[in-house]
Amino acid sequence: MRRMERIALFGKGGGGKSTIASNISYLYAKSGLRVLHVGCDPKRDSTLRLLGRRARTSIADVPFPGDPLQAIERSADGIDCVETGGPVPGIGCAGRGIIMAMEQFERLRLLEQDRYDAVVFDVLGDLVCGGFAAPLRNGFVRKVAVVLSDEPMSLFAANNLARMVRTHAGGGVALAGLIGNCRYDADAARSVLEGFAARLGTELLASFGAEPLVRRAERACQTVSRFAPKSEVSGQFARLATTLRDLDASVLPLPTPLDDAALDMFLRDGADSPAAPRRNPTRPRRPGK
Amino acid sequence: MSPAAETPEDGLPHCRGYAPEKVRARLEGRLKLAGNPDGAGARLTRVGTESESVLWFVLQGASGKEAWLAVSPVGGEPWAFNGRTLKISPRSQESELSALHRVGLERLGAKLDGTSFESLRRLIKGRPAAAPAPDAAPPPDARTQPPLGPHCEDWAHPDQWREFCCFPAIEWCPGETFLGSVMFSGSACTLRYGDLECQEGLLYLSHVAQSHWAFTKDPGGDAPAGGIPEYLALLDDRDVIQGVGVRKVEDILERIQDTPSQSSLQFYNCCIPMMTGDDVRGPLARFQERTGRKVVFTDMSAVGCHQESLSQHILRELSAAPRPSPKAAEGRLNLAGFRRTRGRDELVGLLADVGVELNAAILPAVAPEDLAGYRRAAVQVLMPNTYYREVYEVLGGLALRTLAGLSPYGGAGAARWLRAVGACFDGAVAARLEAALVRLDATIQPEWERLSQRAAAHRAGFVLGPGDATRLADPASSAGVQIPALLAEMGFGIDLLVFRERGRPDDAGWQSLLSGLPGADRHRIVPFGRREELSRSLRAGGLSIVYSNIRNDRRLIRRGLAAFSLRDLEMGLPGALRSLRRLVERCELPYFRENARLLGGGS
Repeated sequence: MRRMERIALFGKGGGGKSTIASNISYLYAKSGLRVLHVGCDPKRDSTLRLLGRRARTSIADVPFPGDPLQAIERSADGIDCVETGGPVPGIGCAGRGIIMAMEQFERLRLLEQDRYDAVVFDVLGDLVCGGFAAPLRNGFVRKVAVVLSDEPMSLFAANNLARMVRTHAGGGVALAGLIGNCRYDADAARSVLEGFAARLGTELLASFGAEPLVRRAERACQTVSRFAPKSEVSGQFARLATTLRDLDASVLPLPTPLDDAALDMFLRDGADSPAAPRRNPTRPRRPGK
Repeated sequence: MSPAAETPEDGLPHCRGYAPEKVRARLEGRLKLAGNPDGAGARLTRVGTESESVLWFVLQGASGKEAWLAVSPVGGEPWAFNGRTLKISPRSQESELSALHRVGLERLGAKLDGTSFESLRRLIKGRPAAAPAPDAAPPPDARTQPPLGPHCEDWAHPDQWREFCCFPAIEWCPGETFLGSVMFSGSACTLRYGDLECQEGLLYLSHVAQSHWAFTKDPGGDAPAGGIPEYLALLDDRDVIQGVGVRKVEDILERIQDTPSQSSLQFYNCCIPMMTGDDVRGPLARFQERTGRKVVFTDMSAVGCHQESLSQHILRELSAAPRPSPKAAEGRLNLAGFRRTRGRDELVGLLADVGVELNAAILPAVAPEDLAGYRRAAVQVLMPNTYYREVYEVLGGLALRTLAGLSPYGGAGAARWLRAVGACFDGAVAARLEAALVRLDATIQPEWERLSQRAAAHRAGFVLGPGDATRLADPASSAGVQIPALLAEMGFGIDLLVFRERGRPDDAGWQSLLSGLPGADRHRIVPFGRREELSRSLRAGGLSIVYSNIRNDRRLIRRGLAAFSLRDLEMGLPGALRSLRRLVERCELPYFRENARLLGGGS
């Protein structure tokens, strides 16, 4: 039995996480893996490109004591899609919604029993509370990829996410790397992101620029990998999916997030800022689970 | 079986040990905090450190509440006092602090202001380990220190084997006792908003303690038959996630609107809506505006603090109440702090027979209509009670003749109380009351004497730790009853089983508790220092009944002993007789002696 891929994509809101996560899920499914795609966002739009429409319901919407499995919908490509759901803006607690969804996963042993070969979590970007880190607990996720651009707030969020991974590293979670998604001057942005990745003790796994094909695919409610499978950008997604899958979480180094002063300096001076001394990259021992 | 083989004292929920006074003299001296920092009751009782970053101080107020002050570094600044309280115990917010605590904290803050954190830390931790003088107090007992710092509340404390009174535990549950919260009766209803586990499912103190104080759900207590209506807007997981629980509150408010008999609404929500930011304030404000009914918050609402203390509530209501003419107040009496029981009803009935009419009775429960008409009385009688001090200050500001300091417990106490009340009215009332007392005494005395003779064959025990003697001796600290004196009057011999820490001087409180009691030669003090010694005294000390605020106290049951508490003691003359009869019959009941092994488990 092959090892199950447990991947989560984090990043600042509007940065392209759902687009990238959907493409990865699609490519894994296309390669024959049984995939569960989990959208952790009250907007319930992560599965839009996989299902070709909005998800009908979410785990939070299943009336108690209903069966949370009702919230899972299978896409035309055989991908099981589920949204954790949550409140409308301004009320409620979306973090608690994600926690509850993880509790349901655990109760149903959804990620056990050889049901899936890969699970891809697409988590609402700005880390606002522990609820949004719930997938990092109890072994739901092993690899975290951070989607970011070279804009200051995106870098700020990415640094926080590296801190989050470090916090949860004891549970076997590793930072797989950064995924750039920049709208303007992709080459210049790439060098900034590579410098930033080096400071975080990780790597830039891929860097996407503004791509009209992606936008056309989105308008068609599809992943670009399905919409234009032979396109260059689809090839990029395929290489990213393979890279992510081939990484061994147990040997990935601990991230080295910047402290406030170093981050401020990087945001001001970019890749030219002096690198902070590297911290001990030794990973804590993984629990036996 | 040897005493040492005794099984551990388990099964004692909420029996929290509390630290005795362990003030670091050096810190006190340096900060000039010895005694009362505010001169009125609050005192610094404990200091300590949590890791290397937080120093904490505990201010104990006379109300029994504690305020925890933590001193921690301010971000980026030198280590210095920042005036921030990290935790106010018990589970209270800053706004709940009594004036005494506030003053104490402010003064402490002023003393600490400008002191470096490091010097404070050295002061606390770096006390030189001098050899103790032969008569010096022993070093602080690690068992009585909070083991894990100010953020830890510990149950199953190592000292619980000798905790029978559990006063701090009782006082630290203000929501369940009368010590701090507004509790409505009469034309009011309660709406709770929270999850089922918090609201109903937890093992609350009133379910395990047989204390006189834990009575809010007791049908024999203050609430009228059936209690006031209580509604629960049940908050479940999906309400939290989607933020729609407030709709349930709104729905219930709409229904309450159609019940015109309920003039006031007491609202309480648990901490979850507070954390998720549910807007409960809006619907309640609209309800108040729509219906003209009063809404009283007895806990935090979601946005901002709306808690209204008992004294604030009473002050507000009394200020708004109309002032009646002196004529309307003639011959009318208010009672404050007299829990509604059969004993109280008999007292009120007796006073009514001699021409004194009860106008209003407030506390622990408060009926809106009683507050509205509270000023329509000539006299108010206040039951001694430390915990109502703030309310009594409010009541003391009213232009009413006030009788305080007496309580109607025991035969002599009840007669003394009634005569004092009668003296507040005209001479005719006092004469009628005297005549009634003589008649009542004649009916009660024969049986009282018979029961007293039976009581003389029994000994009642109190297991006391530091501080308990003071509380028991002071009626204001024990709901108006001086319990040992009452038992001595009944004819019981009294054993004070007192915990004596090795090397510590005797607590003068023990002696003062017994001094002046009738039958002084029949009472004794039995010290103990170890569990085995206490066990031996309970087993073979000739006791028949022991005071305990823990319901079904297995430590007593397994030794064949019956228990009693404040709850068994009633006010008034007939109440005193019933109390005596109850205790004597309990002493004579062979049930516990014969079934100890079956009932108590263990040895």
